[in-house]
Amino acid sequence: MISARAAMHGLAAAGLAGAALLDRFSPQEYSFYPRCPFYALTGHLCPGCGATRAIAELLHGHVAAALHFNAAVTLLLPVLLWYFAKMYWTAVREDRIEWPQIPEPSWRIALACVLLFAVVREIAPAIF
Amino acid sequence: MNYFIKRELNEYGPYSLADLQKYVASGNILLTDLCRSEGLTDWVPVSQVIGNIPVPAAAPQPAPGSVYGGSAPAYAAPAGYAAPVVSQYPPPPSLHWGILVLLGVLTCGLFGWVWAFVQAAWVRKVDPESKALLYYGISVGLLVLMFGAGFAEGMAGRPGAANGGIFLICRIAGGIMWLVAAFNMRSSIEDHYYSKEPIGLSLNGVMTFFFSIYYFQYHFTRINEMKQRQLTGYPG
Repeated sequence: MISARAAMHGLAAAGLAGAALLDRFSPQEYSFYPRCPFYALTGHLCPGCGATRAIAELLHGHVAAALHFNAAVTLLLPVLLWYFAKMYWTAVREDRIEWPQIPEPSWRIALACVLLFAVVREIAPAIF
Repeated sequence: MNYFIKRELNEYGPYSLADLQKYVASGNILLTDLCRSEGLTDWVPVSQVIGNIPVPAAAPQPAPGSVYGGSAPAYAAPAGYAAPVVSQYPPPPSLHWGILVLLGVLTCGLFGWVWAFVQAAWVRKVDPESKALLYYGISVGLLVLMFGAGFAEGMAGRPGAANGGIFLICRIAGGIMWLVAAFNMRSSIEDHYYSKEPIGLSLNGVMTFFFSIYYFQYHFTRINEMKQRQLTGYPG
């Protein structure tokens, strides 16, 4: 079984490789990126649709364009990166995984906002 | 000298060395928990503190069905305390199910693929016979293969070629293997919580079919909360 430290190193390396791929091959120019299964099945955007393009825009410093493609992911990404950095630091120092303990009201509000975002984006796409 | 114990984000104590030995012997404190002595700030595994000091023989196991159902606080046990309440098995992955759902929807389900491996790896620890990890590997492998093929087609200037024919078969086969893995994991989890840690957990087949990892994580969250309540003595 791989150690917690090795697992987190692997995840960080995979994240960096993904960022490099997005930086080199823009999702707007290349079509090989996987399509959202929910969108493929239903034709409706899920809360995560546009995340790949949003992250690609963020990598180039285009925050407004990132918000246009997926505001939820763009706004939550710093929080997610912060929790990942904490997990990574704990794994490197103590060789154990400490899953984020996010207060219940926080994740409930975040989940509600993300679902609301998906609904609003679907019925009023002009807002974004 | 007294000691403090840390598990995940929670701290307990102080305990004397004799108490520490007693709780390690009874299974309330694990050798992998962190420990520090009073006045110091560095945390080290309990195994380093206990070292070669012999610990008393383990206390008898509680009756089936009482492992997580009781209300006796493990760390606040009175002198002469005998009934262990913490299992020798590793706890299930402790990410809250709500956060898993949040990350799942934000990544179009991609995080769910990763989390399936985390859950299957835990199941493998408590049930070495489990094949869920292998089945998830095949399932995600097929989907990654499609991504790789799509990448190659895209680079060759034929975008969209990865949407039909053999790729459709790969997609269906990947989906079927995903379900096989989910039901294999369901069987292992039920076996574990019926025999080794008897809390009588029963997993619904329909929920397993539609929500698999999210549904499992809901129960893991519940089990972890029950364990935590027993450790801290809070009724919840």
